[in-house]
Amino acid sequence: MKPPLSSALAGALRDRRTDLNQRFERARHQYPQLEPDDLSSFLRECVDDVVVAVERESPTAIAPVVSAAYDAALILCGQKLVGQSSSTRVIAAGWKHVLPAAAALLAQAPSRILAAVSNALHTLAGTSGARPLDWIDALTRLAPRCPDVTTFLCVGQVLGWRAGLAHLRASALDTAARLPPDLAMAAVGATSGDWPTLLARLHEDVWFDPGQTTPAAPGPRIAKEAGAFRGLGGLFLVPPQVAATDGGWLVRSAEQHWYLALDAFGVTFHRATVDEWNAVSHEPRLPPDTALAGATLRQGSATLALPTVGPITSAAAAGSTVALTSAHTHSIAFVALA
Amino acid sequence: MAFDLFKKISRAPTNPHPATAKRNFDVAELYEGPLTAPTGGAVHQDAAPLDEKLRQAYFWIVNTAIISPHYDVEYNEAPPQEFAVGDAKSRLVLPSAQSYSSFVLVPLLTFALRRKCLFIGGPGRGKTASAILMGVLAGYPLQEVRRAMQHGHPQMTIADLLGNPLPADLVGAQKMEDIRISWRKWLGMRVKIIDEYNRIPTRTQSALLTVMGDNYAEILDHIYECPESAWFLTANDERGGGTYQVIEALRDRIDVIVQALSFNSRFLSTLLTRIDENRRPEEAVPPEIIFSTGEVDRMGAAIRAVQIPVPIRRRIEFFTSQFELCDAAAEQFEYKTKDTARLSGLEWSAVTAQDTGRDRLKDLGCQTRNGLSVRNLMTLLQYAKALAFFRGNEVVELADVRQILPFVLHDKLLQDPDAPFFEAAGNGRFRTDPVGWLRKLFDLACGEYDQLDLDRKDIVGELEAELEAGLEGVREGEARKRLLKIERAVSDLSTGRKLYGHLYDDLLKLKYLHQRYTNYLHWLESV
Repeated sequence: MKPPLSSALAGALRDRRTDLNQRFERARHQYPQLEPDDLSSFLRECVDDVVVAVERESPTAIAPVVSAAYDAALILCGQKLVGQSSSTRVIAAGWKHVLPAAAALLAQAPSRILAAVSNALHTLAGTSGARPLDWIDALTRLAPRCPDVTTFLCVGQVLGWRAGLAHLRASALDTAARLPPDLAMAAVGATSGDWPTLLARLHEDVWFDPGQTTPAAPGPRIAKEAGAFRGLGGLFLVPPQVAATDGGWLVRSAEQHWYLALDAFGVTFHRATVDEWNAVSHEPRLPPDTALAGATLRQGSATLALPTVGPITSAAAAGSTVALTSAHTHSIAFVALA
Repeated sequence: MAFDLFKKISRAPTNPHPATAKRNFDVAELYEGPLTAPTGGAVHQDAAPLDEKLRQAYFWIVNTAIISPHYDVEYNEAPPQEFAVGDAKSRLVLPSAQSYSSFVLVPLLTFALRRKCLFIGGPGRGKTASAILMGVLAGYPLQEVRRAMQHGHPQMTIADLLGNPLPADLVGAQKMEDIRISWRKWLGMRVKIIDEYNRIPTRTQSALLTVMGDNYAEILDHIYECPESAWFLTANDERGGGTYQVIEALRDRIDVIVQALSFNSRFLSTLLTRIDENRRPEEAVPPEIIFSTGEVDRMGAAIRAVQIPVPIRRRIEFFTSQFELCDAAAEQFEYKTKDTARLSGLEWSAVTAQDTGRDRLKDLGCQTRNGLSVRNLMTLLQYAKALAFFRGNEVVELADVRQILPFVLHDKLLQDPDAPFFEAAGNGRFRTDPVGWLRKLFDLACGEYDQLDLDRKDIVGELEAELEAGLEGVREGEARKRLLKIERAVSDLSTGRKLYGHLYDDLLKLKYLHQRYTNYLHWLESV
């Protein structure tokens, strides 16, 4: 048996029944797949908790919140982003957890926050390797500490980067620099330390994770392996090659090209062109104190066994990172130098 | 805000191009997605680039506002699928790249360029509705656009069109300057709409011509300077038929003509939706596609910055050169033009009867009664640039010129329906299809251009480039050598050949170059 709707949501729906029914009809013209049952379930399972939380914070905001939530629900259900046949559950999860935690802010700017949270989860869910559930957990914890809507949205952006959107790193660090220090530290996962020092280190070292309390072992280490064979859910048809470019990496496999962004928190691939690939150097270059010998990388006196298979086919370096590809594997190894 | 299907615009790039510039990832991307967030605060992205915004406006209009499923501006990336339909083997092409509906595209380009567009077609086909939409895109409230629209009618006076002197001043004024004028509000608007302009009396048309042509209005020695604006006129007949004949100068001021095509009955359900909704699309234009005056200014500058590569320009020159020559019109070479024949007042058939020697079927010039004016050419170049800009390109492609040309030259290049070309099998339909005919004409010109291999063998272009490099430091011997080269080129081009339009222009250009060197040599001898 379905649980009853809260009196707050039931009342708001009843008060604007004709208008809401008209909106449903209009939405159905746009989204012929829109199912009344999906909408009804979403209102019951996700919107109701949000409205109850808003009622506690600001009873006068119930009507605008319900109106905005209803419109958002029409689009989300119409596009099958929530509901029984949706391919992902994360948007619904975000509505259940993040929005009640942000009820006070939601009462101030319902459309803006509903769109931002839903779109962010849609982006994260659609990005291979991203961790939308981490984003939900972190934002649910931090939302009550945000003094205003803009701060909340900025915190969400920083958390989006930390949840795996590595290409947003530079922009997210700029955003973090504008946040109050305590919130900024919490957003980047730091539990102690001095914020300006942490921020400077984040700018310098793409492998630095403020939330990692155990220091890395001295010497070079495999920081990340990225990419996989297309038949196993990856992007590459043949083993790739890599080259360094301004602010990231370029990858080529079977005449296809990608721009690759990565750091301690994630890896993202973006389509690139052959012109971009041709514009960068493909000479294997390693830092002066670093050398390759078979499947071993030597930095000074330290050595590292590489996860390469077969001869090295490309090697590139940028900052404190060396990228390597080999003839018989579809993944790219990224080595963090000491 | 209530859910509104009319307000939905394309979120995806409407004509994505590969990224070649440095990548700039912005955290604002995180909040882009299926839901539209109201703007505000520092976390939102910048507005879309202007070409993208223009495309968004286009797609909103074709998807929501104007039911025009006619993709007659065709682009292809790969050979398109073609089908022959019916006994007449009518050709249906399925384009392989993003193609457009001229009825929406051409007015939008006019809006971006602030030029003048005439909608033609039968009643009830969306001509006025399209014009009104352009006013709303410029940021005017719908009511204001409707009120400012001028409806042509047989009793329309200059005062109706421009404004009135204040009655009290008329009685009390001692001199003209004392009479204040109450100007009509539409004169100050950035989008001007004249509905059924061919119903305006001739005298009032002259006043309209001053506003359209020179951008000012005049009453009793008082002048009202109008802002740069886009003009949209409607008529049920492009040739000016209507209650009053449209004066030629007024027709000549119109830059492009676009036809409202017929309603496709398969789209009746969309009409039904509008009745169900009881709303009109023009009442629900999304704010994201409304352009400020500054944006239209910037768009104009960006369009002007679009480049026309030399090979494309050469093909336009070659096409243009086909039409002005009329060998029988004069004795002197420079006057052998259709304009000379027209000014003489002689019957056109009498002029063409004297035309001998050329292959009248092959000669493209024989298909027209006139050539192209400077105004026509400038308009063609501007619209070709605007179309390239609309497609997100920085340079004009040949397809842009081919696609836009018929709308610019619609009533500018006058067809000679008695020309042998139209008697040939399958060509008779071009007598009633100006768009198809003009495109065919351009294709034929390009075919001839390729056959002559003018991209590689263009002696006139080489000699021109030599002169354009400058005469600074060119010695007498070198100048004489070049003079000889020109004379040899004239001899080579003229010996044993028939005189066609492109050759006529080439020879006149060589004469010009010859004169420049002759004068230069005179100057060298005098110093």
